[in-house]
Amino acid sequence: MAPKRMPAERLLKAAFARLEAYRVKAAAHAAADYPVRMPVHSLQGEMRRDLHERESVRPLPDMLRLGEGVPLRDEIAETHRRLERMRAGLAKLPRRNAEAFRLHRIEGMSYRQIGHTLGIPTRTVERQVAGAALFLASWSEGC
Amino acid sequence: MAGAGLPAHFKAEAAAWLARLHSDERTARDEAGFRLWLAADPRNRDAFGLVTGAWDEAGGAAGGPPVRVRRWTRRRVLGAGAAAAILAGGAGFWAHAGWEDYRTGHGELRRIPLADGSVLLLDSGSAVRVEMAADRRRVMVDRGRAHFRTANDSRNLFFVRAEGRDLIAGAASFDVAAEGGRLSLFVLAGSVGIRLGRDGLPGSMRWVRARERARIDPGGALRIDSPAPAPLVAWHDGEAFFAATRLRGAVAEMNRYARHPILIADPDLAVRPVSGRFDLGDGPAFARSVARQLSVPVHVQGGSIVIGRA
Repeated sequence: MAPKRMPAERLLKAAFARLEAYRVKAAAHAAADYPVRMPVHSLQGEMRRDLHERESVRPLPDMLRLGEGVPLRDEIAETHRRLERMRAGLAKLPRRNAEAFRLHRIEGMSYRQIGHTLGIPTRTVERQVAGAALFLASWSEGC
Repeated sequence: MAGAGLPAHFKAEAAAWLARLHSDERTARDEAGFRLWLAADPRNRDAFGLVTGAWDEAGGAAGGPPVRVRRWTRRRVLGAGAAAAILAGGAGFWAHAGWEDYRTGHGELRRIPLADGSVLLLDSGSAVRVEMAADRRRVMVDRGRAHFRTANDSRNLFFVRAEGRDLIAGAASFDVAAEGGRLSLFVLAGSVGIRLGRDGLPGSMRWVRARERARIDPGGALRIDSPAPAPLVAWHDGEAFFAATRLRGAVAEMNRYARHPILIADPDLAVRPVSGRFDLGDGPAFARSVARQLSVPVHVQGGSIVIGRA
């Protein structure tokens, strides 16, 4: 787990509340509230391009895309070590987070499909996926 | 690394945004809000980089060779609200008109292309009902055996119900057999979930992976094994493939298709192993071959092929 144990539930609840606040702020910029179908990776890529183009803004860390444009070498061993560690982290995921995360990240199911499968609301799936991402991020920091 | 040692709430917000960006219900407002958040504080970017890196790595780690067996079955039984939701997705979900019937007669194999691009291969003596709609894809296996090759649809899972159990698949290839209260699921590619609760009642999900077979007996006991695929899927090509199979089982398989039933005269023969590859409709060739393997006579009697001496 993370260096210090976090009350993850409470942190995430607050985090989603902040997220909601940013959505409200964004609404002032007249962003429409309709579903979009752009793949997430293209959004991330676009975001990185944006950040590169605007010099005042630092680019996102390269780890956004593992190994992309980075010379290999010792990094192969390093990557293996990190993947091993991530496997251990996956095995330690709290169960309710693990199920939703696995179905989404590994099986490629949408939140809606997962909600249907597990009989839980889509928003709960999202919360559980976020919980898993938070856990794994904290876990990977221990590298 | 960047992002290390950040206060926890930055990481929590980054995780929330990442989960939202991966949602199929994500809106343009979410994306605009995300950009605002990202620009608001450099630590937001660091945190998002950290969480995204872990996300990417987790995909790579889990997608690698299986290094451990993970169980997904021990999921806690859900609360009352969730149970109601499962019921809505279960019993009520299935009580809907608009089914199309498909049946095969004795010895008949039928290939059924479905509207969503999936393909259904229906074995001899089987009956299924199919419902294909914009928001649902469901097949009810009433009797017999069917092979499914389901097309991917990110919005709708493919649901199969057999012997009161729900099977749930994205893009996958699998066989389902329902006979006498027994359910057998053999996954060839992808993975298929089995909801262990009967008739849409709440129950944990067991995920069956490629090359695994799950069998549930009438008592509800679940067994998982990894048999050799070739004998199990030979019927897709109109063939039977036996590798040291007990004569009783081999005859049962041939009789699913045979015009003239094959009988075993001597009960002692029933457990003897036989091998070979046969056309499913060719009972006589099968009978001659196994009689030779077992060094017993074969004869025709009253429209049946009898193996062995009574």
